[in-house]
Amino acid sequence: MKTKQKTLIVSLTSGKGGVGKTFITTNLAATLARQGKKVLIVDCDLGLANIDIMLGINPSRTLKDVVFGDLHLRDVIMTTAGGFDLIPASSGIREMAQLLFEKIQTIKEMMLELEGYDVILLDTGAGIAEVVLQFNLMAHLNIIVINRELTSLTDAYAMVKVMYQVFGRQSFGIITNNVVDNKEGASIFKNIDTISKRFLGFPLHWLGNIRQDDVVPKTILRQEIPVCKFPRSRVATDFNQVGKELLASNNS
Amino acid sequence: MKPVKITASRLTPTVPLTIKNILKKAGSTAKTALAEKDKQAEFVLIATEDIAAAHRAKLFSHGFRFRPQDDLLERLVQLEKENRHLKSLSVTDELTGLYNKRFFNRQLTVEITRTQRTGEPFCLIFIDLDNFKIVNDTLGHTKGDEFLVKICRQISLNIRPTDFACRFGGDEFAAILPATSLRDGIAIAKRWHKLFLHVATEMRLPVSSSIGVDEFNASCKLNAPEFLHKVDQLLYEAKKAGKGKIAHPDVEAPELKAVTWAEKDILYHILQPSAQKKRFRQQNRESR
Repeated sequence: MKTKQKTLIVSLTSGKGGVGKTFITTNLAATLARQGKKVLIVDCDLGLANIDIMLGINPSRTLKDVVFGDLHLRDVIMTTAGGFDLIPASSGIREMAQLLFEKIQTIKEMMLELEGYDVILLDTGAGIAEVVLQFNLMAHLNIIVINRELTSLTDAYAMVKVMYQVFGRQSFGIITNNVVDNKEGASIFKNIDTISKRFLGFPLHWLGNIRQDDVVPKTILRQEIPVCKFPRSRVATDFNQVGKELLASNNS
Repeated sequence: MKPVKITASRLTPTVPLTIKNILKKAGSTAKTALAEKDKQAEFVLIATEDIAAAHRAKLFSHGFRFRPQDDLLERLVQLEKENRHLKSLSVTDELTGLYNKRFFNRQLTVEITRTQRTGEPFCLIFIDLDNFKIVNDTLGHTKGDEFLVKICRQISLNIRPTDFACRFGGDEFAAILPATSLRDGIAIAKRWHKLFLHVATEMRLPVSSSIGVDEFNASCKLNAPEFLHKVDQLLYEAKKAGKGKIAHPDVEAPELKAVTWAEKDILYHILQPSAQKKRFRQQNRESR
């Protein structure tokens, strides 16, 4: 008997901007797709979306046509070279950055109606604005991307705290991005994990490191996805690990 | 003969308003019109727009009689006026001029829908006067009414233009404060509380107010009667706690939610070079 498969909705968020949310979203999606999963990315950074730039594509229809037109989310889905599907948003439209609560709810409802995906990744914007919180709330798991900067740590912790205080969330995944080696990543994670345990009373789940790799800046400049272009590189290995950890955490 | 219908705008001063011209506009002449008719025939002119006084005089000179009861425009204006008056009566409280319960119930549903649309919270304030019954019983209803009118005058003068103050009847009042968070709602309740006290002392009456305040936000799933009941319960709590109290759900000060120094200290612990760590600790101690 065929049962309706359950879609895992995961949001990628960080608090601070520029820590690599979009980089991790696209590469994680490509990795999961290589592992045989059906993956969809939704660009939830409604005001300043830029996944299309990462992928070097020029979408004709975006989320804006859903919000201000009468299209359904499934009408703006496009396939990408990375093997995953994408719902792009547009950049620089002020009205999209300050959507009515009602419109955000509509987008969320439409997202739940999408079928046939194993994983949906929500790439949220920076900050703790209501839109970001709403998309995080909708996801089963919130992955928080951090790097070694102090501000990134503080903002990540602030995000965890807000999601816990406002919505009672207690399960967060952490990805340490752009670290020199595994040891550095582990110590950064330990910091934020300790403080979460002590002040909020629950541990965080470490999904793994993404180590620095020379192939990353080069491929990004060429608007290509590093894990697709160099599947045997260090960064691809790291993403494989993170992808497995993510799926394992969902099954357990 | 059919009535001749001519719009007044076509009766321009350049075309003299004569029977001949009127009939011409209607596509007829005096001769044919009379030929069709017996001698008792009447010409009925229906003006669909207002006619200037000069034109009217001209028509009179042709033997037209003007019947005021048929002046539709005048009657329409009058009806509209009456209608507006009745409408305002149906939503205002007779004694105090505030909105009444009927209006309140309608507006509450509107605000709930608005919050669900925009995500912006609104506040509801419930007010019940303490010892008001004693005033009515000992000093008479006139004195009581005078107090109510005075208070409501103060409310109308001090209320923000976007808020709705309503009299529920008797000594019960309610106010809807659109686009207002609980913190601001409580501040406003306190202000009104003082206002009531001020008027009471001025009139040397032993009256104070018990108030319940709550916020309706986007995550709230209650409907209008349920929310009303919730705030009513708060008011009941305020009454039970002793007169002259304001009851509201706890509001956490935003400062308490922020990431604290103690948290930051651990957060940076491993990453800080030792000298910087020392300075950080010192700052931390000073700020406490």
